[in-house]
Amino acid sequence: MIVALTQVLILGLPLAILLDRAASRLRLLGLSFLLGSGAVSLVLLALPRWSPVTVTAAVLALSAMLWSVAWKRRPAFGAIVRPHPADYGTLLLVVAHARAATRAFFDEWDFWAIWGLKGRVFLTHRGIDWAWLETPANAFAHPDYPPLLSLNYAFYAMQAGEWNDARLGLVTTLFGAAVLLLVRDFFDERFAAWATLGVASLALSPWVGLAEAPLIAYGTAGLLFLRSRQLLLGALMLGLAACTKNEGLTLVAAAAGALALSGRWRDVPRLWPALAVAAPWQVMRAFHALPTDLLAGPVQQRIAANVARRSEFFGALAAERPVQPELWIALLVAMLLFARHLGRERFVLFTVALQLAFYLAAFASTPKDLTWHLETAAARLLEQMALPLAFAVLSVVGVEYGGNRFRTQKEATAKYASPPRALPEHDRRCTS
Amino acid sequence: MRFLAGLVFAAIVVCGIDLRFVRELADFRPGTTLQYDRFLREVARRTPPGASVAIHVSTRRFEPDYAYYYYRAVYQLPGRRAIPLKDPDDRDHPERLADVEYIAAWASATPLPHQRVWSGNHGTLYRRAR
Repeated sequence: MIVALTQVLILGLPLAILLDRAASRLRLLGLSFLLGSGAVSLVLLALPRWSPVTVTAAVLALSAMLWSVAWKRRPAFGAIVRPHPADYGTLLLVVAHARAATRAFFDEWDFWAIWGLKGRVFLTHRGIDWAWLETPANAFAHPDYPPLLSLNYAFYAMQAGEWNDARLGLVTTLFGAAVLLLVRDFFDERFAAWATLGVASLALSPWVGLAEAPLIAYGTAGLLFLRSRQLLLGALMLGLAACTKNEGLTLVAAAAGALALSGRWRDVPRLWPALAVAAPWQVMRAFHALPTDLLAGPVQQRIAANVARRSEFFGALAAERPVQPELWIALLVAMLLFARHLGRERFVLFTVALQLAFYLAAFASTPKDLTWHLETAAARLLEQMALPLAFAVLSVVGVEYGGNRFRTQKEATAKYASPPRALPEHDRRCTS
Repeated sequence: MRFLAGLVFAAIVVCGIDLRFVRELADFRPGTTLQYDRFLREVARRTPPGASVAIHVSTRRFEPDYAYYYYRAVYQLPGRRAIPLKDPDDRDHPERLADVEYIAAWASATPLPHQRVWSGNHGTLYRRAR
């Protein structure tokens, strides 16, 4: 596990330095893990045959190439942020999640029937086992789903020399911890520690082993970078979200729609790196004719039939409970009380709204029993959008609490040795 | 308004902290393994890579009963071909036994008329009689 994690970070760090020179140490660490995990999955996707030697050689060769460019661009490390007491609370949540994730056997059906299963099949085959994916009897494993997480599982197991369910549980924790490092850095520093503690449980997914954690990590990171107008990094993160789950693909569309709705039309075409990163798997999937069940067969008929059952649908939806209902109530109350200030976070809020609309459309076209699908997926899907929503609401409320004093350019400059490429829109408005 | 914002901020933070995993920190019991998984690991140990293994479990329906045992077998038998003896329409397929090399029978009261390889963890591994 340590060997594999080291390789992920060695590969991710130069990418992080090249893509975000203004990153603080915390952000750089989180970004290194996220970019490194994505890069490792693309390396495995590109290699026709794997062995620990060939994969390690490919990873090290790629990282050497990246380092040869990155070492010239020394990152603008700021001062080391002293931990706030609330940070220890966040750390406790991460440690507790790691322990729970690594001691339990995986009871999540979707781990051993989808994400873990495909990782294990690929590991045994020493490459993408297209024949296995194309076998109709294996359709239950959703062969069309993007493979980033399964490939990472195969990578960790290959470098460890064995498949170990419990150890792989740590991957869920690592993705949660990585995005928390970014979130901590994106929050206004006056309340960042407390706010990060408040959202930590949303990043540390209770669905250990499933693709929820990496999707939340990449999706949230993508939206936060786009919010800060770091378009390349935002688009890359969204691309990696699209390499993780099909919901990541709709998130790219939702983010594009939200950019347009928030008046940032010109930024929409600049999301092309997201599509470029997502393209290899989508092309391979199409080439091997691995269809998505939601779009297969008579979609229009299914939608018509499911829409006719809308009262049953909404009844079942009303019976569903989110993982932390009190948190959702608090977020909704905050949104009502501070509705006139929500415009500051309109990009993130529009994205969340559009993504939830995509989820409703997915339920409408489901080939499975509508109520069953809702009961098994609704809470998970809602949780995918909880972290960016909570970030946006806490940012609005936190700034109101702070007396509407935005971080000044001087403070931002002090935090980073060189100023960030771009501050969020509202920051720039208030500092100009 | 500032007081209200502070109150709401604190409420979101407090409501957002999920202590379920923290409570488990004090639980020092070792992690559990399903008996069915232990059985399947023994099956994997006693069958060669590439072997076809039929999954024999007495359940009436495919979803969710048989599906659980079958999918779990696919996961726990890497490199082997797990063969289902029931299809998603709940039809049994005993004729598939003719094409397999091994039969992993779980919680089956009646012994099967094949060569027994190993028994344990509530299951029996058979090699199909030729």
